Amino acid sequence: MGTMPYLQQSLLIAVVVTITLMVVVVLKPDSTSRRGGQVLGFVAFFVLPLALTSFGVAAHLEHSKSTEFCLSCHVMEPYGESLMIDAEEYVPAAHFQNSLIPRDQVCFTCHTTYTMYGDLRAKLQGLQHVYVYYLGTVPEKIELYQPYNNRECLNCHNDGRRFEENELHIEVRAELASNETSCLECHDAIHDVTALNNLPKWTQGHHE
Amino acid sequence: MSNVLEVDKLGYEPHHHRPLRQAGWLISLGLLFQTATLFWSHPMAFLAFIGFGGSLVALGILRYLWSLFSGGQSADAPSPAVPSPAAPSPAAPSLRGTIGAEDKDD
Repeated sequence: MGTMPYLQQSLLIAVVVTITLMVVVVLKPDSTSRRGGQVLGFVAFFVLPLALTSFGVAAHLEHSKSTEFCLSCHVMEPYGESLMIDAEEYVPAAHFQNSLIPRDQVCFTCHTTYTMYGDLRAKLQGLQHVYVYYLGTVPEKIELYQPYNNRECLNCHNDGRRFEENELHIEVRAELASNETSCLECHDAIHDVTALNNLPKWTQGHHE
Repeated sequence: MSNVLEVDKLGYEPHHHRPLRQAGWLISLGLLFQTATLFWSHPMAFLAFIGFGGSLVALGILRYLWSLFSGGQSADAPSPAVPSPAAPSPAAPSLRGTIGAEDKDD
């Protein structure tokens, strides 16, 4: 980390400015009897706090895309480690190690509908995850609620030369687009967390 | 006389200051807490941001709006002195004097 992210730094400055304005109004409450003081009070006590809270929500949502955020839960650590499997057939590991996806947003790039970025049901499931993590029992094997959507793959691979010119892909292209056939039927080496300890790991060239 | 001064001190001044001060404290604490959660990379940080920080800010804003729409009158502050019905009002002597004068004329 080291340096403070730009968004958080800006919000911190805005919070200090807001509190300063509120202190001015509290120390000179008689100023609120005048038009200018009323406007200042309304801005300091209503407009700015609401705006800052909205920006804070946006900052949290943006931050929830980060790999660091996803792996902050203990149960997700093996899935993070699976990105270091040294075998080309492992799709997430190959994408991560060859920088085919942004390393600071590894999880979110391929799981875009997960919890906070999904619909209302996904958000409620996210709350349920927090409950299970702290107060319940985490299942040994974690599975997706729904079959993996090909859209996540086609978002990048569609129209790509290697994808388009592959004969197998040409045959099933319509089925892939409609999710009748899953990409994972052929590319089935994913996050193999049960075999993690038996697989070789890539240790070089990884930057935090 | 001293009683009237005491009511002025306790009643009128806090009416003007207290809601703003309370709202200021609530909003400041809420915003500072919300800012602190931004430096914590964990799903709980968002829940804390909304659940605790958001609640404090919301309470502060409501306190401010309440003071705004109630015309600066605070429900928890002591009300200014109300003259007791038994005690004569300042207008009473002059009225009585007027009646008395009319009676005298008759």
